[in-house]
Amino acid sequence: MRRAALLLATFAVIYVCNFFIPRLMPGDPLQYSSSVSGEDMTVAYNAEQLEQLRAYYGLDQPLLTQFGRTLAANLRGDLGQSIHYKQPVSTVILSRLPWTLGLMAFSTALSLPLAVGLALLCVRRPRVDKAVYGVFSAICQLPPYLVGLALLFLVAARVDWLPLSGGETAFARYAHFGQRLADLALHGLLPAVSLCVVSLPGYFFTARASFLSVRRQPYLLGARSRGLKEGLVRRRYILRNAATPIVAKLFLSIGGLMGSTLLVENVFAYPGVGTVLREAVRYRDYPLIQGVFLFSTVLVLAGMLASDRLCAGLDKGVRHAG
Amino acid sequence: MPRIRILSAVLALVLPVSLAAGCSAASYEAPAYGADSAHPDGWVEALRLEGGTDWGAPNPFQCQSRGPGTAKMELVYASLLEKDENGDIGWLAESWTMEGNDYTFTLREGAAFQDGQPLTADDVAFTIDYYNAHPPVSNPLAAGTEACIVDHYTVVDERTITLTVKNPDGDTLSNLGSFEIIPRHVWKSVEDPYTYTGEGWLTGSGAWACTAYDGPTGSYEFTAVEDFCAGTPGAGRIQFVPVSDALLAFENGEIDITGVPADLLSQYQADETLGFVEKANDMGYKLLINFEQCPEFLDIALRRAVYAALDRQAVVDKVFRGAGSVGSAGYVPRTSLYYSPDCVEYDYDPDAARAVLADKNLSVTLLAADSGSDVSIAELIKIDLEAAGVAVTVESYDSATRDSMVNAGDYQFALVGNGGWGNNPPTYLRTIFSDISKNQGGNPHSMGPIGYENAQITELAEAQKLETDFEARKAIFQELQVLISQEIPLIVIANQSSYSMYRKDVYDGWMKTYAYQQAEQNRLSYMLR
Repeated sequence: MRRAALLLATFAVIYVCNFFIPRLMPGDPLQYSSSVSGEDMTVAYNAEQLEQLRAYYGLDQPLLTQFGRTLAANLRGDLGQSIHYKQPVSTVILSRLPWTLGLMAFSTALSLPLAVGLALLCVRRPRVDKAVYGVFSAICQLPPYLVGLALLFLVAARVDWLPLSGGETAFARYAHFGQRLADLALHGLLPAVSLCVVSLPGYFFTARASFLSVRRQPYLLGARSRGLKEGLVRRRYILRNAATPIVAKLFLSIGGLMGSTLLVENVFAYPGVGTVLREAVRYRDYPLIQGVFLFSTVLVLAGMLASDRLCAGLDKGVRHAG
Repeated sequence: MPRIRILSAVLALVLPVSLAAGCSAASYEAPAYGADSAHPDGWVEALRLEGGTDWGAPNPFQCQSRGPGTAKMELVYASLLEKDENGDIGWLAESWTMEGNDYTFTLREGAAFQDGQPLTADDVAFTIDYYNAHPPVSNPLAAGTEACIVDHYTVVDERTITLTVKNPDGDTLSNLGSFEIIPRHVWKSVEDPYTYTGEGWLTGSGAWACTAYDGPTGSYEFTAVEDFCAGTPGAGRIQFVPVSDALLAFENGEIDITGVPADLLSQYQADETLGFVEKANDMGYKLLINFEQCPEFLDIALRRAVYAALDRQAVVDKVFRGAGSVGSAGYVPRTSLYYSPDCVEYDYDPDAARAVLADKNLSVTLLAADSGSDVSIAELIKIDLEAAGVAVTVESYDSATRDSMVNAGDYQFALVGNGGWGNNPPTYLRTIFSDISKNQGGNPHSMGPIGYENAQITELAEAQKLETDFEARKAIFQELQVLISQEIPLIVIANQSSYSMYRKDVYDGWMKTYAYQQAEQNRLSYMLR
């Protein structure tokens, strides 16, 4: 209960920051006029039209009034109207959200089992451990967009069957859903691998440390002395007892993974929330910036809450089993 | 152990479900239209262009008011007139007359919306009323404001409408001919067009129906409308497909036209199967002086010295890689129809600059954007001015912040770069240099000098608008440019050209209008001519 209250208070603070910080940035969503050749403004709004626009988006009101209106609208489930996309913010985010969540899930499905498997191997094979540990130490701080760029130019550009960008083949006609799923997976592969490369070391270090700590426990010696097979010992004793930190790491990584995903999406022109956030910041689209951060906040806090609950449950399960 | 299994199962479930969810992203798919009968020469089944950016839904209320957004909307919707290489031509209107304040347009026979409903003068009248009632639609009428150019209209018959304007001027015909006609039967019951996505929200009056629009992936598909009244589309479909690197995609045959960097141009020009469209001097950079903060520069000798201090050819050579030209001090690029060769030329003369500036003990802050070529150009300006004895501090911000600071006058010197210099000078010269019309915000072409007034320039800049005779108007523009080059309200740095490259054997219809150089954004580029 106390934990939930703490998360709620955190949410409230972040919500207020999400509202005010974008609006305190220099720049004006209605007077952003810079352009490169080909993306020129095609209309020059006169002063009266700018005022009409300000009134339509509620930007003509004092900041506190805007905050009150936004809060009331948000409580009704209305995230407002995107100034840049000229659509409801919820529509913009919800249409991109599945792509982002899918990519996060895809990369996690690749990195987590791989990290756990490698960690299990490493605790048994010191030579492998030394090599893997060294490599992961070197790559753990690589920025995800750099990995994405490297994969884009070193792999995708040289391999015919790997798409360079996008989430799926545009205007493709699929014979069945499985074909589309394969197309989606193919497009998601390099972005997911980029994320996997940067998230893998984190999971690996956690799993490795957890396995090493469990490995020293006397009950393992007991299990083996009872003649239990090594596979059973690993599954029943090592994995189960080491699971709590790994699960905690998984959920606590949601925030970092989300941030990495937003960057990687931009490298691969992947149609997720990341590209929307970039445009929203560029054009000072306050309602959309706020909507994206609101969603991220909820996701991260929900991840933390889920981590708490799951870890508590796992600990309880382990104690009961013990 | 079961919990681990549950976790694995959850992940295994989440992956395909989430990927599959991508399929449910908001999209619009309309019934296909199409020209599937015998095709004339030059016709191509599908044209593919670079997509991947959501430029908004292609209707007048929801498209983004930048080139690529407006261009897509203009494929779907049609206006009374269109622009070709030489001037205004009929589009939905087959003829027009002008008499005093009255402009009478006669619609083409067979004009229709894409749902088959006839397009009549009532729809034209409704469009004006609707734009007036739901401002600010991005349209050239300034509908819904005091400045709306239409005073009233008279529907003469089903195909004829007379628009009576408040004050006719040199731009009136173009402006009246440029607003997109929307169907009355769709929009008459729509209260908020900015959020409407119901039936008919993309039913247009143009040559292309939007048959697919997917915002998240930035994919658009337009299908040719059979029996479009003003011409024959040059392709069955136009598709905007997401690409990460447009040049790579062009080489792989994924798209049929793309921009090509100046450095690589010669490499491709040897290939005879490729065609090129030059967007001559379309990007331009100017140095704004805030005379309120730097009153010393009200002395014209100092402004001349600034010109002399700047090696503007170095900007063209080093930053633009030779693709461009030193800016005319009269502002209008040298390749424009309106350009005056009589403008004063300011040569690079560092010694002369130093002689004027060195003992003045001047120090300025130069505001620049941190994107594109802005910082490079700002650094070159700094080097040149410092060599002449002016201390310069470059401050770079993201473009939105820079724009905001320029609009607020929060700068001493500001470097402003933007596209569109190759467009029609009547659309921008007045709003930069007229003391009445400049600094209205919202467009880089309205960022003029602060703290500087010039009655003669203002008089010419405003007078040209009232002149309806093309040659007479051009003469005023040329006089205006000469005056600007003499008085130097701002420093023109350089213009950059860019190029589009296309496969001639796929499609060879790309064109530039007299007012707009972006071939991919001119709807006549997609028509057989």
